[in-house]
Amino acid sequence: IQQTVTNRVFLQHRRCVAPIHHRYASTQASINNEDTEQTIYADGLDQLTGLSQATRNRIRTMKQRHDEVLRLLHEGGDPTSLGKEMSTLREMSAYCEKVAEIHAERTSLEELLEETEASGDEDSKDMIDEIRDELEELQAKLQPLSRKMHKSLIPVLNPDDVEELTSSDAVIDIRAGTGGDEACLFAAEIMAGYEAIAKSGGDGGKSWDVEILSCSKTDLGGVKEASLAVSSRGGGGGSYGYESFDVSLDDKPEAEEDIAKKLLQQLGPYGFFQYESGVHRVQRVPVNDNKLQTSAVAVGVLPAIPESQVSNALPLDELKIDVMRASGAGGQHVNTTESAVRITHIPTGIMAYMQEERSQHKNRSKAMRLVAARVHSLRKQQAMQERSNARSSLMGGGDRSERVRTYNFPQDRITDHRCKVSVNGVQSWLSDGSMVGKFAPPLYQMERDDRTAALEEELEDSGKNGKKNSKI
Amino acid sequence: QMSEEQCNTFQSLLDRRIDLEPLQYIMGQWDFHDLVGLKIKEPMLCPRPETEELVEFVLEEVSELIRNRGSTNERIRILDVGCGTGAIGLAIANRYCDEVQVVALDVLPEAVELSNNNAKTFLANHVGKKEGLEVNTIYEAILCSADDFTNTQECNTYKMDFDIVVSNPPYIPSKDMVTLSEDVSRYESDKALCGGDDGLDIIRHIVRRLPEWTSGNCWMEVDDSHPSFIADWLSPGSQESARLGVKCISTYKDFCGRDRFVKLRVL
Repeated sequence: IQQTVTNRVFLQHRRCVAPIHHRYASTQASINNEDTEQTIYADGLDQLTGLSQATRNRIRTMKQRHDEVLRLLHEGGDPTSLGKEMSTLREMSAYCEKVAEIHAERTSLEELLEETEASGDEDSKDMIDEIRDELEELQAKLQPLSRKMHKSLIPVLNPDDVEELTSSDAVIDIRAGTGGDEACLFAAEIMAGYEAIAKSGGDGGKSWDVEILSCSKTDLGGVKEASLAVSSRGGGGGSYGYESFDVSLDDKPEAEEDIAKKLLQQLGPYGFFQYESGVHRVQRVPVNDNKLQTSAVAVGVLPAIPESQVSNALPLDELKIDVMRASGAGGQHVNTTESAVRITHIPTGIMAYMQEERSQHKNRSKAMRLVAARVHSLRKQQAMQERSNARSSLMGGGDRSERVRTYNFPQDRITDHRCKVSVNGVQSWLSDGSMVGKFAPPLYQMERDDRTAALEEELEDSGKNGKKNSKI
Repeated sequence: QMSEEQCNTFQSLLDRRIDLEPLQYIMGQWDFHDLVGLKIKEPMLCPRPETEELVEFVLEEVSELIRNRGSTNERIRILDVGCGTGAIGLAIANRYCDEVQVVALDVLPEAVELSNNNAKTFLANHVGKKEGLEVNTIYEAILCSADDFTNTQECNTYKMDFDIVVSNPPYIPSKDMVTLSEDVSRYESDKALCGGDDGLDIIRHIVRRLPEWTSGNCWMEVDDSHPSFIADWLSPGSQESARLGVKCISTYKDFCGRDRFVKLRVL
């Protein structure tokens, strides 16, 4: 018994000391040995037999980039852009280090096993069993780790868009469609919902500013059309940055609410609202009727251009600015309270008419912001069409004329037609706008699944072609 | 449903409007630039939208001055000649309350009072937050004409050395006064509108005094007949320009496409 205890203590001691040395060595080894296909990497990733060679190499590239970004940060590189890149890489890096740790432990245990078996000692049978148990335990940790790493290959937010999704403000256009007064009433309700959820920061924390850029109402209190500006005042999403990362190894999949919560916290106003773009259909019995009516409201969400960049985005010579023009000499000759402004962007034909404010200056400023957001959005869509065949309508926020959601009052159910999620309690979801935060996470997941499928295709192709390193 | 008292009030307001009284006077206030609810009283001139553009020119220059001067506690000094409701100077002070000091002139005591009143309204919040800061550190209107705003041997009261001079002086030529619509001619002050025969009387006073006030730029809103004339009169290198010590740098159109603004500089 005395012997066994000593051996156990010895075992634990070896386990503590060895891995640190091995971890740095293995990283070094992996950098030097990339040239041949037959190379055996010492970073332990090859233990993950569930992942293809191409996937493992992709992971290696991510880890290398992580270490490089870390070095650049320490050398004084730009913390904003590097920090954001770091956020997309730290999870994978932490997993890699865990894998390397396990690999080092296994290696030293296997050595110990060899030694002990070779010694031929009678007493060593217990120790051999213990070592074998430990090795099995370590082996078992690899499976869930492997799964997590596979998931981590594809970041939750598309890296091409992450800047916009986390920090851009939003311009939201709402327009009542078919259904007359009913549609206008529903438009007013949707608008109130968006305002409410925006003011509570989109579930992320700090409240966002809501500014009504324009709003034309009906006599019954409905809204024919309106434009809102939602701004985080530079705050962006609640938490997005380089933080220390805790690697959990248990096999419990992360709770859906926690995943959703983490996602929502990262999103800025544009990222939060972007999937509201499209046609919202409502089915209910109008106040003054007893027949079920279907009406529609069209929503468009655009990234807002920061005020300081509006004049760069829209050079004056591309604009036609029309104001209420008095006949005669103008200026002091005439006293007018007509302050309406129409701004037309000549190259694209995009136009905004603003008469909300009593000051012409303010109307002009609001109209500029609207035009800037719409022109930017149009240009982005054109660029995207040229760039790729979008896999699904989810890439880039979707087509405004696509029917995205149905609010069925008699059945008390809201259904999103894209992610196929339904919730009960239309009124309560609608009145505080919480439906936005409910449907956004599954939609982001769908978009992520698209990217995952695309990556898997790519890795399959590269595997078939014998390429060992895929592009990131 | 309105009460009888409300109906009567509403009716009397309507009557005033039917009588062509300007809406701003009836309401007692209107918005100008970023100032919401600027108090406006007869007979001071109701601010026009063109004047908002004048403010924007000055704001751009103030912003540039701030950018180029480095760190300092000294305020950028602005002179608003013919302040009326205080609109121009206050729009500037409102945007740059930590960086500017506005002195505003008018010949009507009611205008001086109204301007200082408006200043209290718009600047009180900001002043309250800082120890030892008074409204008149940022904005002060005084009763004085352009011509009288000068220091002599006997009377050396005024601190000059302004960085920017801005004005929307009375500029309507006398002959045009009869063409004005009734809501202007019957209610707004002649003194705020008429600039003499060619409309340039006050402008000439300003130009004469300009080198005493500043070594920088002067922005003015003028009659659409004036910019080309002034560009010629004060053309750089011309005799008049040399004599007066002022040159015209450029002219600008307003959003209606009319010649409206001039930028002058002291030589």
